[in-house]
Amino acid sequence: MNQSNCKGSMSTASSSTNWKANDVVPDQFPAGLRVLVVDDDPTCLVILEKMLRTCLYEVTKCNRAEVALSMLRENKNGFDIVISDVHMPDMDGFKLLEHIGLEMDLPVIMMSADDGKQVVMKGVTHGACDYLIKPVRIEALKNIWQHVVRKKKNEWKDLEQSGSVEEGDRQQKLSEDVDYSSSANEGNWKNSKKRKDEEEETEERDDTSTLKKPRVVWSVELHQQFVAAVNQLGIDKAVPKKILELMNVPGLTRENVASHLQKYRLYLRRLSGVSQHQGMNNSFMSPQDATFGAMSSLNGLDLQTLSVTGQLPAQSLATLQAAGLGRSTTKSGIPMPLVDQRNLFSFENPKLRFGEGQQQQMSSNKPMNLLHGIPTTMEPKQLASLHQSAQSIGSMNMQVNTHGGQGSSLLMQMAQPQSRGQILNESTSSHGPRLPSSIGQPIMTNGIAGGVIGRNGIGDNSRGTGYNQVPPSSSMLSFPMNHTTELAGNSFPLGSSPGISNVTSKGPFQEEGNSEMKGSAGFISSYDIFNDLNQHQHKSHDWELQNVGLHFDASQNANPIQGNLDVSPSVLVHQGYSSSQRSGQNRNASAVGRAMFSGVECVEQGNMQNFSPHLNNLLVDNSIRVKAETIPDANSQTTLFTEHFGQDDLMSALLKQQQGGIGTAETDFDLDGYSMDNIPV
Amino acid sequence: MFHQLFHDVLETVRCSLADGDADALVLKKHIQNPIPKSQKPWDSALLIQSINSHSSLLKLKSGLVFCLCREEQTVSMEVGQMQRRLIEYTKSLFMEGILDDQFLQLQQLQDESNPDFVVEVVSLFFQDAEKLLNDITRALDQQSVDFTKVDAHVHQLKGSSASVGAQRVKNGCIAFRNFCEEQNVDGSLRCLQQIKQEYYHVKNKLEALFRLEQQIVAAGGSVPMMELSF
Repeated sequence: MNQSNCKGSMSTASSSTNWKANDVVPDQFPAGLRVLVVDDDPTCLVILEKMLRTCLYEVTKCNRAEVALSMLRENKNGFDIVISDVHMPDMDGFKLLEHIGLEMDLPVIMMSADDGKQVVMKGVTHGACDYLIKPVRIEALKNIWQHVVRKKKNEWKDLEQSGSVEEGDRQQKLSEDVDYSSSANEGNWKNSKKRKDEEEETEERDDTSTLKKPRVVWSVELHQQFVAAVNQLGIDKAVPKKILELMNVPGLTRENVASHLQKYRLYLRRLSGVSQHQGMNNSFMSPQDATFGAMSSLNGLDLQTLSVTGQLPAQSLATLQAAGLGRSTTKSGIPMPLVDQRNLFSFENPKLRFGEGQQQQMSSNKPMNLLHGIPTTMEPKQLASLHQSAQSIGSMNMQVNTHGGQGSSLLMQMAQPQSRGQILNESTSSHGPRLPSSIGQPIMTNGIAGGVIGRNGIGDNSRGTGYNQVPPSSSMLSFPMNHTTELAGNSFPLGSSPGISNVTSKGPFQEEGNSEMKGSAGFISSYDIFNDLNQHQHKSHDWELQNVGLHFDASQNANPIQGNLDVSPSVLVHQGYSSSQRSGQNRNASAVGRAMFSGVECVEQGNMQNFSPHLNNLLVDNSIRVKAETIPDANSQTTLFTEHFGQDDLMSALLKQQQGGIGTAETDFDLDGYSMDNIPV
Repeated sequence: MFHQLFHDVLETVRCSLADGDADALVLKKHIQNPIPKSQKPWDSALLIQSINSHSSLLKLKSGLVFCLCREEQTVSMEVGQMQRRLIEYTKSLFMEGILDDQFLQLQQLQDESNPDFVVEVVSLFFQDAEKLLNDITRALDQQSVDFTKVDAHVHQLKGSSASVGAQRVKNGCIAFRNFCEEQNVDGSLRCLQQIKQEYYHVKNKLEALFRLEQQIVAAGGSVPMMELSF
């Protein structure tokens, strides 16, 4: 199966990955570089092979271009670099170069006895990364590894510039590239993620600083325009020139568009390929491939998932997508199912304005959809495990997906925030979106917040991050402050929020251990927690905050909370789980909250039973099967926040926060000036 | 191998000498004196047998030792000579421009794991080149010459000859391509002749070089690595 194949190639690939990263295993590199040599001259072929072997590379020789292409197609990740002769009887070397660039995006070195300037220029324009004159000397071959590294670096740099991907992600990206096709390759993903974590800090600065190449930064906006243009033309008819014209961006060249289109096509291809034969689970992993940088980012994933499930509001998709595009493509660590990008775009709905539309949105079905996905089937332990590791998130997502339908979408959304949060916490997220963490928090602490964040996060990564971050701290803070009294007795229309908070708290983030429910007093405690959260703030502390949020909930055994808890699952949904659920729904709420937060997990843990009927009503799909049994802990914990915050209140608070623009949150995602409104659909 | 036989015998004798033979000292003295050239090479097995059965035959022992030493000396002299000859020969090829630095590259690629690498590659080149030359001849023989095709063939010959270091052939190809561009059939034909000459010339030289190498290896010596010191 893919995985095994990948594994097979992984074993080489992993070593390749290692040396590709060039940071992880500097000693080995560049030994083991997998080179494909194509030349119709048998003498040259043998000589080259011998030379490359002497350089300790892994050589595959081929005397026909067609054979070489099929080899490359069969084994997408089987080679690191291609050396091809220019003059070949069956296919022009430049044509082969084009094919490889489009389909596999590998570095290609052209080779010829012809050293005429025109031919060399042709190589350059066709995108060859180097041109060797025959007779080739071994010294020239010794350094070909630089092209592999350079390409990877540039891709990362691109991502970085556009999506604030940290350099550290590069490794993950590299490894991602290697095993993107292996669906449930969580282990690898995790490893790579860890690797990324370790190294990203140190490497990031150095690498970015050393990369001085001026490149077009495909910002979210730009990509939106690009995609819009492509969709307008039709993906099959989209040619760089026309796209360029449609986009009408000054300073953008046809070459920029062409290369971006290349990547986009590759990305689409991967999407369709992945979504077809892989389950959601797989899709989780696949998005990680970095070929299409923007899309593969979390945002893209989120969008995809959502779109897949059909639940994702267009806006969410748009925002997510945009964010994703702007972001690094690297796996945010959250495996997300790949959804056809087109779908994503079509979902775009620039309505992702939490500020204004929140309320409406909340009440609209869309938000509901968010919750739908709350998988109730998540096992508590799943939650725990999920949250604790990126993998879990992935699996969570997977589970979410398996639930399919709306549930998954919700889960995805929730999961994403969480995963993101996790990722953020794990300091993996190089992406701007520190969102996840923030997402997690709000959810935890505020059912509503969580819901909101969920939506935010999902809908608009870029925004969401902003939102997410905001919510956690801001919402937290704001809520308690603003709504202490108000919320106390309110049944939260959001319903979900309380649940969310509950759930979330219970949820993956070490909820189990969150015995420090400060929130006993409800707001007060939560408020304190909020304060704490605030202090921690974003990024690094996202998780903490989340935990804190959990704490909140946990400590709340308060009855009032219960009522709120009921709503929890619907936090996302906005449908306001009627407070009817409240009664002793703490658990439910918590469950919900959890579900919200962790998606599936939350549901499980939360005492969804109470909610279920309610939720069903509320949720369109009622895929949230909040378990009736509530985890005792969850009850107390989760109820804390959610209860106090009416959905509307929370939403508005959140909105305010968001609008207020928690600087950090916003900036994290590099979405300065990028408003959801502007997301071109 | 004649040499090998004597080598074995010599070893046997030496071993027996090392056993603490009382005659060892005497033998040593005898070893200094060269044995007259009329001494025939003996069958090693017989020799060994005699030595073992007559360990006390000091004279026999010493005679053998002398013989073997001489033989070894001779052989090593011959191997050395051959090696020197080889080096000189290769040098001359470089000096005359028949071979260029690329050939050295090939030699450097050769190692124990691939001791016949150069020979293999050059053989490949010979096959390929002859086929190409035939193709070019045929193409130029057509009523209407397709110079694109001719050029393609010549280009390939240029590439492969450059890869093995057949410098003159490569240069001939470069010149040929100019005629192709001009669509000059006569010029091309003349050029082709020249290339063919150069090709057979380098082929002969390389084959001679390989033969020398084989002799050295057969004599028990090792092929010296060329150095670009000339």
